[in-house]
Order: sequence, then structure tokens, then C-alpha cells
Amino acid sequence: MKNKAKIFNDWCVRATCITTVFILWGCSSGAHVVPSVSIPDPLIDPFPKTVGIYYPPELKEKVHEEERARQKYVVELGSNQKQVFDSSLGGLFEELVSLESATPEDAEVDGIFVPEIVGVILATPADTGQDYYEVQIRYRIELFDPNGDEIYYWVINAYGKVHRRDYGSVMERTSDALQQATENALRDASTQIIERFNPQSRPDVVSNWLSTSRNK
Amino acid sequence: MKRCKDWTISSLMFPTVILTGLLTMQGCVQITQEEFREANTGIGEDQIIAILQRTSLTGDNTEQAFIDCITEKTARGRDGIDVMSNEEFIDTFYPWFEPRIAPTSVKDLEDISHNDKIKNRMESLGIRYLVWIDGSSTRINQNGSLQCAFATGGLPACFGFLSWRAESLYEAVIWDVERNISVGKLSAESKGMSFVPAVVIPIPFVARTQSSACSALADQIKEFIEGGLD
Repeated sequence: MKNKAKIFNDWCVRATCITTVFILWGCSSGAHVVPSVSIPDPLIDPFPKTVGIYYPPELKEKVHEEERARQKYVVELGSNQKQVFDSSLGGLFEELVSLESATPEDAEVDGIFVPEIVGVILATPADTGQDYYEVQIRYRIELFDPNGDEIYYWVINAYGKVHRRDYGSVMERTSDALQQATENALRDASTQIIERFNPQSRPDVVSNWLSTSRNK
Repeated sequence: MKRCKDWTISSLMFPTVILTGLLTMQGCVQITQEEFREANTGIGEDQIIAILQRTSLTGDNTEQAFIDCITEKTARGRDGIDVMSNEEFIDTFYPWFEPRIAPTSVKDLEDISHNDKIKNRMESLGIRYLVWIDGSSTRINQNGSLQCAFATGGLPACFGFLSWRAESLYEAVIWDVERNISVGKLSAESKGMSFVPAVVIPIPFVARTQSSACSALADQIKEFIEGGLD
């Protein structure tokens, strides 16, 4: 009986020490985020057009890195971009074609989209004093006609946040929280792209382009 | 003499852990509920409700844990109602209920319901009510301090006394999809005092205000929807 108590005591000591190490480790680490966003097919009527999209290598391989207060934050954004644009532009237009170049010679498309990420901002409760982990991704999306002339460009500030309380009360899971906030921002990007084609939101030049048919 | 030698922090662990387990109990919680009914309600056997998180890009958002809790508790029990979760609903109707463009009034809902795709999907799923949840839990008036350090022998030990007052205030606004009207508003406010005395081991007495508000609001939602004769 005394042996069992001793084993239990030893176990308690070890568990307490391990927990302390984890707490200290949790306090000192930044975050490495690999988002895996899932965006459903939008419930909208597509425009009767075939459009192309060119993903520049900088977009496909985009990794945001920043270091502050001796903590390193890494967010791998590139692998999710196809999902963002396939969902939004794939839902907006009858056909979406992935292109190898921004100026293809023989692509039978009505327009070509070229997106890029021009900025990323991460904020944690420690930075802002608020209860949220926040991620903002700034996109610039250009639309060209088949001849390579720019029709219009959009700047989109995609935003996502999550409540810190959903990610632990003692040891906050910073990576998990920033991952969900990033996924929310990516989903917001897709939503905003769709919303920009709403008749009330889109500029005349885009409405004109939508109403013209391609010369075959 | 031998007994005295064995009386170390390490040997205190077993009874302390057991004692902590026994003493970790809820602080007192006080709940206030309100109901404002605008129209009669009722739900058919083949109809369901959707419980949705009212999200704001600039303001405070309801915790996901609360949404999960209220979804589960509204669906549970003999008087439970079939509930479509927030996640499933916004995916099914993407992008119309995303935080940036979700309807904020019944008029907005009516506007998007003119879209046949949305209308048909609502009908085919049998969605009768949308229940929008808003609110949050906050910790106020935190007093005292708790300090933890490594004692002799490398064991962590905490000393001090910490107390705070927690408040959870949540409301549910219920829209009738069939009639495109708001049928009522419910609220549950829960307040409680929590404290953590610590002599070597911290012993938390936590007032679970969020959990109490969740149970109260879930019961209110069921009673409100099923209780009003259509």
C-alpha cells in the first residue's frame, strides 16, 4: 500500500514538472501555421463566361514570416490560394481555366485574372490587449482582357479573427488560433471576390465586360 | 522519527491532489432571463431550426464554445428540437451568411430570399427558424494575486488568493423564415464570483457563468418555439 502511494507521489511530481515545462514552452513559442481552408461551392448563378487564372509562383509559394518579441510567426499561405480562387471565380463563371502564363497566346478565354498577396498582418491578444487572434491578408487582383490589357483591379482586405477563449484558458494554443483566423480570412477573401461582382458593387467597366461576348 | 522524515512535499501530493479534486466545485451563479415575444410560434415535425453565430468584423464575437454548447443543448432532451449547426448552415448557404455579408435584419433576409436557390434550399431542408446568438462572457473586478515558484527540491508551489467576478450575457433573436418576420428575442444573463486560494496547490472555485447561461438560453429557446401556439 505504501509502495502504491510512493508510485503515485512520484507520478504526481513528474506530471507537475512536465506540465510546468509545457506551460513555459507554450509561453515562449510563436506559431507555425499551415492553414487548410475548406470553401464550399457558392450558391449563385454563374456568368456565362470562360475566364482564365494565372497563379504567379510568388503567390503559390507565399510564406509570411515575422519575428517580434523574440517569437517567430510563420504562416504558409501559398498552398491555399488555389482553393480561394477556384471556389470564388469557379462559382462566378461558367468555366475557369488555370493558365501557365499571364499572357497566353492561344487561350480561349474572355478574361484573365492575376492575383497577388501584397500584405499580411497578424495580431495576437498580447499585441492588441483584445480578446482576439486576428489575421488580415491584402490581395491585389487584376483582370486583363485576352489581349493583355488591364480591365480593372481590385484591392481586397480579407480579415479573420477568433476568440482567445476558444483556444485554451491556461495554455492558449496560439498556432491553432492563428490557423483558424487565417482560414477565416481566406474564406473572407473568397466571399469578397464574389461580393465584388454583385450588381451594386461592381464598377461599370466590369459590368460592360460581363455584358460583352468574346470574338471567336 | 521515520514518519517525520517521510512527511515531505512529495508525500503531501497524494492527499492534496485528492482534496483538490473534491474541492474543485462551482462558485455561486445567479441567472436572469428575459423574453420578448413578437409573434406566435410553433414547429412541425419535419421542420428544423438553425442556430447561428452573429459575427461582427469590428465588434465582439460570441465564443464558438458557447455556440456549440447551445446547439447541443437545444437538440437534447425529450423536448429537443432538430438543429442545424452554424458551420453546416453557413457552408450550405455559402456565401450568403458569411460574417461580411450576412443579413442583419429580417428585411435583408427577405431580400436574399428572392434568390430561388436560397429559397428552394431553405424549403428542401425544412428550415423554419433562424436563431441568431449574440453576446459574450467577461471577467471583471479581478483582485488579489497568485504566485507560483519552484520550491526546494524543484517542486512548483503556488501561494496567494485570486478572485474575480464573471458575467455572461447572451441573447437569441429568432426569425421565422416562412413568414419572414422576427418572432422574438430571448436573453440570459449569468453572474458569479470565482476565487482561487493557493497554499502550495491552487484550489479553484470557479463560477461557471457561461455554462449556466448556455443551459438557461437553450431551455428558453425550446420553450419559446414549441410553447407559442401557431
